[in-house]
Amino acid sequence: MIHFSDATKSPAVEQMLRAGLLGALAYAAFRALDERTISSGTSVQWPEDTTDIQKLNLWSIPGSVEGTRNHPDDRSIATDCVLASVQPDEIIAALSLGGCRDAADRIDDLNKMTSDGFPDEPAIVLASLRELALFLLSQRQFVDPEIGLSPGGLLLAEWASAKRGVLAMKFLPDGMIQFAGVSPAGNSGSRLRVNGVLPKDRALEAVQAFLPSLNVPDAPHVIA
Amino acid sequence: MFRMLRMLLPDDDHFSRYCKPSAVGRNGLPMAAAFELRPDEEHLSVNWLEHFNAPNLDVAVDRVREVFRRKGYRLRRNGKFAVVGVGAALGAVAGAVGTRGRVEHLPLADDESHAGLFGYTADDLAVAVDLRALVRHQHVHPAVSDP
Repeated sequence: MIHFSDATKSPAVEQMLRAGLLGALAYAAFRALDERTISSGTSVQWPEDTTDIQKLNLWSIPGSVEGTRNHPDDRSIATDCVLASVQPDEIIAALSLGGCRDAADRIDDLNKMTSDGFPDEPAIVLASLRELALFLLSQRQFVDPEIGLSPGGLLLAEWASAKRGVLAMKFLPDGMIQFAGVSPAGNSGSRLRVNGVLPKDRALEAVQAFLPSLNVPDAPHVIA
Repeated sequence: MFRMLRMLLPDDDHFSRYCKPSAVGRNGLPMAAAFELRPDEEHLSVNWLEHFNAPNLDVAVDRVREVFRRKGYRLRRNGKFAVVGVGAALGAVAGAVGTRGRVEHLPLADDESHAGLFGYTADDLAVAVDLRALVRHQHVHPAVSDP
């Protein structure tokens, strides 16, 4: 994988490489037109008693996530494009190429909201968007999250279950993830909570107990 | 020295929170972002619904829409009002940060129903998540009512 900051120190060369990558992006997007959409699902249930949460790791159930089949090279190219990006449009295109089309559409909507003359909407922080995009491209086994904007323009991904379980991850510009989760109430009425600020891999470890249960019935983009 | 008495809203009352489209998911539900504070905010701005003495919460939310319109605030079609019980909100704050917080009536010249949820800061994503977890479809009203 090419990381421009590491590959070159010359702005001219960097610009040339970037142009090349965007060309590759366009080619790969054209090729992706032939790819077929898969859409089959498996329902996932939150355990009745959340005090006994198992690490079921249902993320990897084949076909449990609606999405598109993309060539591994597309995802690699998309990741390189995200790293080289200097504006949201490039990241949106890269996400689409990498198979995250729902996320790309949503971020496109958010970008339009913030640029359409609504002063109450915060401008997207590019570094935060880049971190979210890298996360989504590297974690395609996850159910698509809802994506929104925090008051400061940082990107927030959120997964929710029908039983009032919520997990949110905010993508900080420095690459850290601020996360918070609350499980549905168990039989005893107690709820499991987690929150903190950690690098991606450690944040995923911290929230692992939440992941199997999230995004079950009332989220329309999840196949039940 | 004259000092205003603080009026705290009772647990059985309700408030509405305007949720901008960028903080509303594609499923039509407000996200945790809708309940996050900006770094310069000390409280979450909300509207006290029982202030209107309306026959029900739907009518009270309509009064809030009118207040926003009169203030010149541009409500958007994809925005939402989330209705939350005061007691439930305070429970959410307590569950996340360990202190109960309060909902205080903070009337403004152009918005007499204005109130504030106190007890957390811009860094407390956990509170925003707990508040988000309270909201289901039946608690959500469109920001712009259909003609």
